[in-house]
Amino acid sequence: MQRRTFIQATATFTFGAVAAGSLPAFGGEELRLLTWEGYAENAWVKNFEAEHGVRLSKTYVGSNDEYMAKLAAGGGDYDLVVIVSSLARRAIDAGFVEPLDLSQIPNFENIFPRVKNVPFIAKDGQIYAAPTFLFVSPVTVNAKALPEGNDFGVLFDRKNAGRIAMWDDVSTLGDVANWMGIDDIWNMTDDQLAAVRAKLVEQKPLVRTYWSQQGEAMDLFANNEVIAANSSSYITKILKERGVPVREFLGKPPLGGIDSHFVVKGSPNRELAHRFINHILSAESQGSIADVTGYMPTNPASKAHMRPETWTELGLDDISREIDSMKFWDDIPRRARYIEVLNEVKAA
Amino acid sequence: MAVQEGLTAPSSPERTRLWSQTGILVLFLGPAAAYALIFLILPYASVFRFSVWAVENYGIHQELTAANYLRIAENPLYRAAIRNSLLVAGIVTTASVVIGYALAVYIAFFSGRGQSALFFLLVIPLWTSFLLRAFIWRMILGRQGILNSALLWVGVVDKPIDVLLFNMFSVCLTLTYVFIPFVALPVYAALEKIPKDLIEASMDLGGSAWVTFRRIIIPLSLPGVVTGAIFTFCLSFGDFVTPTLLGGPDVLMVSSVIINQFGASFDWPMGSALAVIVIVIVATGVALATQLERRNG
Amino acid sequence: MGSTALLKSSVREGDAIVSFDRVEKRFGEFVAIEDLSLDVRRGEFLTLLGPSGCGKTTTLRLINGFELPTRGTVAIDGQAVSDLPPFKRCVNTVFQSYALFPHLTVEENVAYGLVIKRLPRRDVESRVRDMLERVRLSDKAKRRPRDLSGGQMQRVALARALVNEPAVLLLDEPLGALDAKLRRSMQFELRRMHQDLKLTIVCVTHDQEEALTMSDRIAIMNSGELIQLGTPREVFERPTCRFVADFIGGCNFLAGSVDGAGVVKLTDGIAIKDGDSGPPRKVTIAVRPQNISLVSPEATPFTAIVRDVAYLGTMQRVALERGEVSLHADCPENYADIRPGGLVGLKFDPEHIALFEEG
Repeated sequence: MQRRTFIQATATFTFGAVAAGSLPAFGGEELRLLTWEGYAENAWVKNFEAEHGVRLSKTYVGSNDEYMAKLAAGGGDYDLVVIVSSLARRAIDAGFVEPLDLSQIPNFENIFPRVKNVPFIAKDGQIYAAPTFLFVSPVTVNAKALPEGNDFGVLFDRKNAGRIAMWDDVSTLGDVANWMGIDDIWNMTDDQLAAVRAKLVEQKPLVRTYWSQQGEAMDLFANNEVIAANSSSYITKILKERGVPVREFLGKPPLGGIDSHFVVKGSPNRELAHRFINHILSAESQGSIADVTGYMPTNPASKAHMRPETWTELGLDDISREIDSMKFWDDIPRRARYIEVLNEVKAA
Repeated sequence: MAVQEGLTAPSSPERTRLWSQTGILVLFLGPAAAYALIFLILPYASVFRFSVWAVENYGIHQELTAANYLRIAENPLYRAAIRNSLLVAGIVTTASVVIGYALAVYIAFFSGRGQSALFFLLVIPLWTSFLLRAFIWRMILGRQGILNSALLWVGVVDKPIDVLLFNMFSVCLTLTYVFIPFVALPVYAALEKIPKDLIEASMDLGGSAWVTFRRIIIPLSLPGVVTGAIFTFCLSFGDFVTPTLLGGPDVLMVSSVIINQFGASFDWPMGSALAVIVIVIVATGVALATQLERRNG
Repeated sequence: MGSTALLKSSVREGDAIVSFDRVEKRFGEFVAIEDLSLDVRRGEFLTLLGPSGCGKTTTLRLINGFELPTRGTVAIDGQAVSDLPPFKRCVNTVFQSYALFPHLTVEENVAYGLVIKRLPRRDVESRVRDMLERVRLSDKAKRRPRDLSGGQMQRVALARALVNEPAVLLLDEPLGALDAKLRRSMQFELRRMHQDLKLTIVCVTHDQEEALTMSDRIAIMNSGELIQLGTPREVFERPTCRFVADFIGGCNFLAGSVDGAGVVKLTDGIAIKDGDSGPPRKVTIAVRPQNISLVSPEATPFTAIVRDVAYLGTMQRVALERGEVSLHADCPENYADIRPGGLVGLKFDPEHIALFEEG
């Protein structure tokens, strides 16, 4: 796999270099990107740099909170920023980012219709972001201990007492609310929140611990501390690679999130930023990204540009089928209250 | 002109000396004062200022409000978190003082030639990352950890026991392990400073080893105990790494809540209000401990 | 002076309260005390005197129990104490550094021994009060040791030991840290307290004046051995060996011999004294500086050159040189005709010389 990736990356790079001559030059410029580690790997970035004669300077952050803190502190150091769907609305409202000119991003049209129409990237009829990566929040279970069953309720089953971990994050409230059949999971009423809290308090005796870092969650499975947790696809993927017998399944309806590229307000490299977004939305880039990192593309045409196994492993058939019913992490208007509820569960 | 020179001339070396003394004073105390201002006074002032403001949509409203404090007073969550932190810090401080004291006594009086080696062993863990040490305890106490494996092998239990990890016990155990050197080192220093002839004087006056220990050695090593206990109490009260990694579902400490406020909640004023309360509690603890020491000193 | 016998002093007379019987103390290879037999008599003030490292402090620590003998026995009040730890011995010590407890007040320090013996509180209070009165520190009862002067600390240390009514009071260089004037007044105060309270005191010092002033008897030690035991007058006037003569009071030593007729001569043949009853042998002739008179060089064959003259207030000390040998003479200030470089004659009463065997 490593070698194939390399060959592919080289091929893409060569193609890009050849094509470079025919495009307008952005000689010697620098495009500054604030993103997650892994979202701007050389495999699909080098060719962009060569093509436009620019250098991409990448700043990585470790958590969603950090993005907002960096932007709040003055976004002038960056041209582009990747923001998760739950914070997109806030970033727009806070004026951290500016609207996109979709005419410069032809690949935007190729995004899953459900995904490109999510409300939280639009304001006053303008689109502010290009959804670039999809992710789901699945339940990961130990395939040996729990070979059967695809229900979120496994996390509330007394048979699994002491072997359950829950994510120490507000998204856990969304997961549970979703399972309880609540529709507006990110904007629950006080009664709904109280019901979710009661459910989590009831669950507490079954819970071994709450995990906060992905590595921690992996550790819990690897050391057989727990056999079920709400987690992330990345966790399942790494555990499988390490030979831990795990499998994952999605909630009903599936719950996930979107990471989108935004142009930071006042960026002097607006045009170049648009070109980068278009580049990363291309079927080729998206396929390459899926192959290398296992992130899910938002452009279904990328299927033709990734290994067939990647498409299968990422469960993209299921996603394509269910995408219209999927719920995404969204802005939580009463975010502080959600966190308080989470803490109230722990203090109960 | 000449007269004036004549008048000022004798005093000028003196004035130079005075100036150079002031210069030295500024040179020495200037950085200290600057440090105190930049790293102590301003941050505390800023935390307090934030705590009486409000937040709205990622903006901080600079208008005076007691809302944050009211919220803390009303929601039992915050009291529970502070209570948990106090409980953990209390248990950890007590355990670290008892064990750290015994260790210091052993190293100071009974270790003989192994003294420097033991001292070295005591200090080595301080060079390792705090996070790493917390993680190692997770490995020791886990279902497949060393302790459970040993219990299974000996046959004390027939399946791994869960009570070792992810609860208040594992948090207190790990923090105690971490903070024992913080007590043992200052106590050891205090014990080393006790003149041997005071111990002989006590025995000469009829004091058995125990009486001498209780009436002479303990009171004279109290400054070391207080120093170590203050360190341990403050640091374990404010720790969030250990409860996060080893705490399990029940151990919610106030520091984790504060981090939530500054991070996920984007509510700096609320976090600051909690921080102010923590500062008040810790400062009270330190003041009481110092008082205790002074009364005995 | 005049005794030539080396007296192995272990005179067992009177009522012994502390007895050393053939005690040896080694620290590894080092012999701190070698074959010590010594009785401390009830009610006496005995001083252990010697240069540093002579074993006097070790001897004291064998009594209070901080050292145990390697061989032999130490008995207190007739009972062997080798297996008694310090806190079970009926002796108390005033430490050289005073060793006052810094965290306790003066009265708490003094009360310490009584409190840990669980005496009734009222007894403790009254005994502490009496003792503080005796050492004139009643007004300092509530002070901490760090607020006291050296002399006051010394008296607190004394009170803290005495309040326990020890069978033997041990003083380890008790006045070493005080200035000269205070030391002199404390010497008399200790002496007075010894008589008033009928105490038995064993005191360690390296200061011969202190020993002579305070003691009933002095035990002179050197290199772990007891050299001479006697009253201050005895050790001063009749030292049994060259070391004692030199250590107490200072002394001039001249090589000489005794011939078959009992005449004592210097090596250059000058006769010093006759009538010695011993066999012919080589001897060291000892004479104290104050016993040498300076006379005209014509008056005697025993002459020396004046090297230096030092003024000492009531007398002058004259440094003399006779061939290879250096001598000192103390003479009254009005003595005439002494100039550096001049020749003088030396005279002394045969009664005032002592002979020590060579080697």
